[in-house]
Amino acid sequence: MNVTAVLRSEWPKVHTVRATLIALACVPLATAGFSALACASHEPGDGAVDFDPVHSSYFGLSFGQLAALCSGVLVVTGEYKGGALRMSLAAVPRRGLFYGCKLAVVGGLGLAVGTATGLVSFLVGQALLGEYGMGLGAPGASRAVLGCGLYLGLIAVLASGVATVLRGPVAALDLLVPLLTFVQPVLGTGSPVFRVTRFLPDAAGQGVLHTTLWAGLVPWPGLAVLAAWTLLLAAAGWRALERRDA
Amino acid sequence: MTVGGRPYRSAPRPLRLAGALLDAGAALGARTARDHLRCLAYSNDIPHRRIAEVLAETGLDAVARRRVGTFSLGMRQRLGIAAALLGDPPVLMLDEPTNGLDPEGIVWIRELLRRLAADGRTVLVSSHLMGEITRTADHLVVLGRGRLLADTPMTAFIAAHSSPRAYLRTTEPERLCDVLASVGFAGAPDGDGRWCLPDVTAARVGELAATGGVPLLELTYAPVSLEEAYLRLTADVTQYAARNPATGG
Repeated sequence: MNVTAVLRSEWPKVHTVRATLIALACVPLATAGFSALACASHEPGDGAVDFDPVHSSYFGLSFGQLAALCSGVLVVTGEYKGGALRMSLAAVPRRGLFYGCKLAVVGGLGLAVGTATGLVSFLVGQALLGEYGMGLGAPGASRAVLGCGLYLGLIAVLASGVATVLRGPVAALDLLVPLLTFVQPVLGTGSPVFRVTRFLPDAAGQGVLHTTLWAGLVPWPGLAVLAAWTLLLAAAGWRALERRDA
Repeated sequence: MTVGGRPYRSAPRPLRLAGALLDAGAALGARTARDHLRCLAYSNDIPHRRIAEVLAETGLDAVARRRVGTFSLGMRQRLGIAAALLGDPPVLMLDEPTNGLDPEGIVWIRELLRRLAADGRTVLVSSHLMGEITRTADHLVVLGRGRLLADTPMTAFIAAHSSPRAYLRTTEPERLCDVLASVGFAGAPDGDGRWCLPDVTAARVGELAATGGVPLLELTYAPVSLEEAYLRLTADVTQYAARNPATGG
């Protein structure tokens, strides 16, 4: 079996299901939309000391990443609904190839949509910040744009890994949404707990969006920690898929 | 698992080696029938025209753009068969293909199976419907509790696990009994005036009746059905049998 053919079959699996397309479309909409709101409501002098104009453009990422999570989950749980996986594995019996290509499509789409999201969100946000806005040439700006893409791509693959272990969308989102969107924001970055929670996937990966005064991990090592989480959970998914009857 | 001596897992294009109907339309309900087949076709480098061909073959062309979730069980079954045929494989494995099909669909699948076999393909059908199997299968494999109980041609199986039987009506049952008893046969009336004679062919009964001068109103020969032959063979190994409370077994 060749990789190209399997990749070619995994791609229509994504774009022929409306829910997955909607989830992917919501990534830029939610990220740029909520970021625009935050930037538009920025008041001059607002916490002037720790004001990070680049990061202001990514305020909405907490919402946009939910959509990326959903896309990663839906691609996998679509296989577990109605026994579709049995037929998919009849067509591609080498499970490693099947799983690898699926994750590659999820990650590639996440990266592409995420980078576009990063760019749009940056430009919209900075334009709305008016005199405080930065250009793409500003320090950390292009890193944030690309970082946003990598972050969303990794988050989507991570979600697919978890969904493969749990098989159902409800179970997967029940675990992922609180873990990735509640824990760190609720506990905050000021408390001593953050010394631990900064290693959570979202906190670690989002370091790449900051240019000043961030108590968490620095950009690239932070993304590396997220990548390690993704690898771990993708491997857990692989183990589950390899061992279980379809 | 190997198909034709080749391991299925390492086949370069598995769907072209063997097609399988698993449970009815193992497909995601949110996808259209055509898209479902498209995803499968791409993975095995199956030419695009096969999608339209199998949709036409299974009578789904009118609903090809409808989502699978809106399909009835019979339509899903047809979609599953379409998926099995997609790679034009020499081997087909169909699990209970008549499930959920309407009478017209059952006739269709019977003819389809015969035609596929006539093409020179191997068509493996698993079924609990003995009547269907009798009409379509050439060769029979019987499994019970995971053990192979029989692997023979259909006709040989029925002959080996059954005995002939004759039914008749007569105006003079007493004389018939005497005639039969004289050659060691015994019959019994089955309630509505018909007599059932086990282990004897109609030809033999006709002969005996003629020599004994017993008038016959009706004489039929009933070969034992596959169902009966099957039940006899598997009587000892049935896993989930309904027990008769009156007899305790």
